[in-house]
Amino acid sequence: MGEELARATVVAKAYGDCVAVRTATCIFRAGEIQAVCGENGAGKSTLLKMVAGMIVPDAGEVVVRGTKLLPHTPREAIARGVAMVLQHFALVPVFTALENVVLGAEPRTGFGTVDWATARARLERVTARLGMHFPLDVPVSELGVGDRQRLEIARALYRDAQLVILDEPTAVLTKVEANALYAALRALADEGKGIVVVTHKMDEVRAHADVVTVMRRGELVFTRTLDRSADVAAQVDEVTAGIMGAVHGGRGARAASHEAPAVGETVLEVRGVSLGRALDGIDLELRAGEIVGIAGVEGNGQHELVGVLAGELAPDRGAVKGARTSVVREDRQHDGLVLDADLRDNLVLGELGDLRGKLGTLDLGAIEGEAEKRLAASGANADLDRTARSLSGGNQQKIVVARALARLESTRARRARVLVASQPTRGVDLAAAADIHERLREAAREGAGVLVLSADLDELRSLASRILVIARGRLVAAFGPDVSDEEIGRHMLGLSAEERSPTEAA
Amino acid sequence: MNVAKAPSIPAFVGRALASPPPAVAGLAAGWLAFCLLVWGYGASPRAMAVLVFEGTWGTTYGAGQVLFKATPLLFTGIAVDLALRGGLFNIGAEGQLAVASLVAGVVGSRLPAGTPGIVAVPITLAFAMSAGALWALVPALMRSRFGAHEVISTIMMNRIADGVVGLALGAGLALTGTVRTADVVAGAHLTPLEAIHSGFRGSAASVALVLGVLTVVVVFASYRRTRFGRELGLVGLNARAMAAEGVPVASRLTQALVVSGALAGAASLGTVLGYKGYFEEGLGAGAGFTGLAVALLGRGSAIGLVLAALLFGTLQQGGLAVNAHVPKELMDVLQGVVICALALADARIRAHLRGRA
Repeated sequence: MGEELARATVVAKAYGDCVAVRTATCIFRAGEIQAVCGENGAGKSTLLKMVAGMIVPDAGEVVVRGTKLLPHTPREAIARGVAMVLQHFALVPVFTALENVVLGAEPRTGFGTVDWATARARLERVTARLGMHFPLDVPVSELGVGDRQRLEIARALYRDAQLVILDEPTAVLTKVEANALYAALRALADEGKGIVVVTHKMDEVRAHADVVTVMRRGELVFTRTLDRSADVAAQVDEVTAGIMGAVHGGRGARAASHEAPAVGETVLEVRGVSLGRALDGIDLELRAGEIVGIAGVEGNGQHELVGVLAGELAPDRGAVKGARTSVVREDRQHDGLVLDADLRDNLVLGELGDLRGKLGTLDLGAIEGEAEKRLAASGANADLDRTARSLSGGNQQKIVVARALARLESTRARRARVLVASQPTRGVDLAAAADIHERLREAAREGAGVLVLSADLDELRSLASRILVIARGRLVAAFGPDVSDEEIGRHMLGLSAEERSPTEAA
Repeated sequence: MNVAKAPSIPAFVGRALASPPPAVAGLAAGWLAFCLLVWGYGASPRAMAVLVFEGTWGTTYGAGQVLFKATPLLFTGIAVDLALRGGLFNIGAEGQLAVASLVAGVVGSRLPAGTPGIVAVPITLAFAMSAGALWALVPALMRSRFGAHEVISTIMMNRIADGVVGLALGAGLALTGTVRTADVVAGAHLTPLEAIHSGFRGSAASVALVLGVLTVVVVFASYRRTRFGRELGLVGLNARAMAAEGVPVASRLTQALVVSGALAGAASLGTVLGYKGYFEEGLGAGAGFTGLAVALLGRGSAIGLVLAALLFGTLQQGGLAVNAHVPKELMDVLQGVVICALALADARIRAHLRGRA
C-alpha cells in the first residue's frame, strides 16, 4: 500500500437544508488509481473539492501529508501537491494552452518578466511524459474537449501535483480517448502519484481502478481495494450494488432489447450539408420510429450539426428538409436551463407564446398545468418552486428531456417530429440514465425520429438501430448496434480512411 | 470537533458583514454619512433628524411635498427596473426624461386651447413617451447591431440630450428671452391632489402620483403575467438558454430598453403636466439618476419600489427642511452614498459589472 498523501477525517458539508456530505472519512494514497463512485448528488464532488481546498468543510478536517490543510484554500492545496481537475474546465478561452498552464505560476526571468522559454520547456517535458500531443500556442477556445482535459491534467502536473483528482474525466471522452487517458494515469500512478477519478462508468472501474470508494446520499459507504487475482466482475457488481443501495439489483444500462423499430416515413433529410471547416457534406436520413446514433470524438462537427438541425446555423451548402425539430442540448447548464429560475419556467421555456389567454396575457393556470404535467412525466423528484440550480445533474437533465419530449406530443399544434439529443446522459447517474434512455425509446415508439449524439458507445448501442460515425465533419461509417468498440473507435479517429478502397470512399 | 467548529462562527459573521441585505446596507451607510456630515457642519445630527422629519412626514404639507418629489421617481425607478430585469443598465433615464419633458411641453402647449383633459393628457403623454422611447432606441440599436455596451451609450445619450434640449429651446421652442416653453393647454394640466382632498393644501403633488403607483403595479404584474415581461426576466438570467429555446433574445433586449425609455419619459407627467404646466430647462433633472437608486433599493416588488421612491422623495424634501442650518446639498451627498452602498451590497450588480458574455 502506498504512502498516504491526503485524508479527509469525518468531513461534513451542507448547503442550507441540503446536506451534500453527511460524514466521510477517506484516505488517498500514492501509487494508486482510486475510483470514487456514486449517483448524482451522492456527495462525490463535494468530498473531493474539500480535499482540494475548494470547499471549506462545516466539520471535520482535511490532512495533507501529515498536517492539517490550513488555510483551507485551493492555493494552499496546490502548494502542498493536491490538484483537482473540474468537470467544467477552468481555462481562460482566449489564452493559449501554454498561457493557461503557467497562469498564476509564471517562472520569472532576471528582469521579472515571464520566462516563456523555461515554461515551455517544462510543459513540454510534462506532456511528453504523458504522451500527450496538443498545440501549445493556439487559444484554448480552439481546442477540443479532449485536449482541454489533457491540458488541465498537464497543468496540475506542471505544478508538481502529487495527488491529482479528476471529476468525471471521461464524461466527454470517447472510449479510445478514455483508454489513452487511463494509460497516462496508470503511468503517473506507477511513478508514485496518487490518482483519484470520479466516474459513473463501471467498466472503467473494472478495467482501471485499484481502489474503489462508494458514496451514497452524502455517506461514504465503503472503500475497498479491488483484488485483481480474484473475480473482478463480481467485486464490481458489489460496488454497483453499493451505489444503487437496495433499490436496483442488476446493471440497468444494457436492459434494452433490440426489437426491430417500426419505421415510418422520412421525417428528416439532410443532403450534402457543409458549414465552414466544421461540416463537410453530411448526408443523413431519419425515419419516424427509429433511433439513430452518431458517435464521434468531441469537436468533429457534432456541435455544428446540432446547430444546423436546430435551425440556428445556416449551412453554406446543402439542405435540411423535414419536420420541426426538438433539441436536447449537450450543455444543460448553459443552453438547457435557466438555473436561477424555478422549474415552472424551465419546463415551458420558450413556449410562453403558446400559453396566453384571451387578453394576450399569460394564462398562469395553463402554465401551471403544463409544467405539472411535464414534471410528473420527467420523473424528476422535485416541486415546481425549486430552482433548476438546486437540482442534481440527473434531475436537471430529466427536466431538459421532459421539455424536449413535450414538443413531440401529437396534440400540439406545432408538433415536432424529430428529437435531436446531444449527450443526453452526460454526467448523469446510472438510474437517471436508464430512465432517460427509456423515454427516448418511448418517443421513437410514438412516432418521432430520434437522433442521439453521444461519446458513450454503450449508450448508442443500447439505443440506436444504426450508429453513424462522424469524423472531421464527415459521416464516415455506418454500423448496426452490434459493432465492436475497436471497429467504431478506428473510424472515429479517422484511421480507417486509407484502408478503404477509393470507390468505397467516393 | 470543537476545533473545527470554532472558525466557522467568525466566518459566518464575516460573510454577513461582507454581504448584508442591500436595503439594510444602503440605509445604514446613508444614516452614518448623514451623522458625520451634519456633525462636520457643527450641527447636532439628532436635531437635524428631527427637522428632517418635521419638514417631511411631520406635517401634511411636508408629506404632500414628499409625494410630489417621489412622483417622477416612481416612473424612472420602474423604467430602470424593467431594463435591469433583462440585465441591462439604463443609465439614460435622465436624458430620456429630458427629451420627453421638452416634447410634453411643446405638444401640450400647441394643442387647441379648448381640448378636454381626456384627450389632451393621453395625446401629450403619448408624444412624451414616444420621445423617451426614441431616445432609448439609439443605444438599444447600437447594442443589438454593434454590441456597444448600453451603460456607456446611455450615459453619452444623457449628455447629448442636455445639449439637444438646450439647442431646441434656443432655436424657437422656448418663449422669447426665456428657457421655457409656453404653458400647456388647461386640459393637459393634471388635477392637483389639493383639489381632491383639502389635507394636501399647498402641496405640488398631483394625480400623477396615482398614475405612477399604478404604473409600478402594472409593470410588476407584467413580469409574471405577460410573455414579454416573463421572457425578459429569463433572458436576464440566462440569455443563452433562451436563445436555444427559440426566444428572440436580441429583440427582447431592444424592446426592454425602448419600453424603459418610454416609462422614463412618462415621468414628465409629474413634472410638466402635474406641476409646472410648461417645460423649462433643468425641470426634472436628477430624477433619472435617482431612479437608478430607487430601482436598486426597491428591487423585487412593487411595494419595495414605491417605498424606495418615497424614501428618496423624503431625502430631497428633507434637504430643504434643514437648509437653514446645513447646506441642502448634504442630502445629495447622502443619496450618492446610499447608491454606492447599494451597488456594493447587491451581488447581482457586482456580477453584472464584472462582465457579461
